[in-house]
Amino acid sequence: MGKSTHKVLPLATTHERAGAFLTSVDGWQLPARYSDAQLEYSDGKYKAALIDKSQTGRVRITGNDALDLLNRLSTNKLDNLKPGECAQTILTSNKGRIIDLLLVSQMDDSITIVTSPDTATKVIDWIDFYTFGEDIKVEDISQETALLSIVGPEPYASIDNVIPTLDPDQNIKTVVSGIEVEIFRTNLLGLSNISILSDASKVSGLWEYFINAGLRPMGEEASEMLRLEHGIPRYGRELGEAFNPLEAGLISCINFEKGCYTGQEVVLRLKTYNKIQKHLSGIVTKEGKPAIGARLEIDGKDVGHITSVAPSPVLGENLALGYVKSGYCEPDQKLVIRTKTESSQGRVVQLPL
Amino acid sequence: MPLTISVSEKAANKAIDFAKKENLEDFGLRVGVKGGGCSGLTYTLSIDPEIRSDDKVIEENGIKLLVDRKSYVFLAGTILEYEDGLNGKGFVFNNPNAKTSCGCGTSFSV
Repeated sequence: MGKSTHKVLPLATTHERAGAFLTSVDGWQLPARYSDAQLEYSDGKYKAALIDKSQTGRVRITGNDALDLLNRLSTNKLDNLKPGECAQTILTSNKGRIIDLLLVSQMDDSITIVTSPDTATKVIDWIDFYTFGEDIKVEDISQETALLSIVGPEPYASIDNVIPTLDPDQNIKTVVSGIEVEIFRTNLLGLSNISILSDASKVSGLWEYFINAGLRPMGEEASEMLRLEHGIPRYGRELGEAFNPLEAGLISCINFEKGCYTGQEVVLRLKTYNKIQKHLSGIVTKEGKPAIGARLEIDGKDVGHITSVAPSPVLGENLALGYVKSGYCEPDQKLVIRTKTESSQGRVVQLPL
Repeated sequence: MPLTISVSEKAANKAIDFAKKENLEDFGLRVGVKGGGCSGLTYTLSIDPEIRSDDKVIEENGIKLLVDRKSYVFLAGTILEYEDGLNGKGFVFNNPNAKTSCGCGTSFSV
């Protein structure tokens, strides 16, 4: 038997000791659940839960031209980002296709970027290609750092006074339990997310601190339930160069007044002339768990495909995300979910749930 | 085909006029590229009194074109021209490397 080539989190041993059942996701060995995925989901949905998100990439950028360059290359308005503020933005190709969804956080003397898992090198190469003599230094800090995430609507009620209170799109550099951290708060598609970046060698102390403060750890299964109920796209499934930000439902990450950025002409044209071809949609099914890649049909006509699937506790049924052609993705639209061997009935649902 | 960057007489004269208004005598016309713009790469143009160590310097029609090495890769073969009149666009980069250009013509992709 060959040796496992899975990438592991800095906290892999801690998760195993906590009794986590492990799963493989896109080449990473991640905790699937620590105890009961329903309980983990319930905390994340109604209170707050702790997730190890160290499989994401981290990039540090310094230099006087850094913010200006990022503003020229991505969809959101970044050129007026001040220390203490963060924003989510999308690097787009000149065809308006998604290179990656980024969290950009302006610290006092540098910018911290959180990328999707395994995309830090791609993002750095993209920035490097478009750098022409600007004062900018880009550094991959994915290996030496770790990222924890507190998701859920009531993070401060669950862990009072454990971390400073932030509004969405704010950041702070501070010390938590004697450990230097950068904290960023976002609210993408209605899911409150507090990201805590620390040195990888210190993250086990931070994890223990949050667990002792009363947060329940959440694994991949519950995390996916929450993600799908909010309709949040994930790199490799719903995010990539096959899609544009409007199709992916990321209009909140686009500033339509900021002027030119790479891909702007295409993105603006799609919106202005209502030419968005497909939309990331929620599809609910009572009959089994649809396969990723399954086709979606209406009256024998192909109208899209499934990209992600998870149980939805809110609906009590399986929920899928999928790209569905415009005109066929209104709530309650019935469709057939078809693989080579079987078919089942599905229905479009409005997200977030 | 020689892959150089050239400047038309009209564009050179226009740049010289601009420099004179700034009371500059020893100067170059810096042409370059920067990231951004709808198509990904945006043309840059400025009067620059300094030649940098990594500049490629091209003299034509009484003016020095200054091009940094990385920009040169994307501009080799370009002719810088000037279109005036009511419908004119001013300085225009006719760049054979540009596969697509945005509507306003200030950015391109390769």
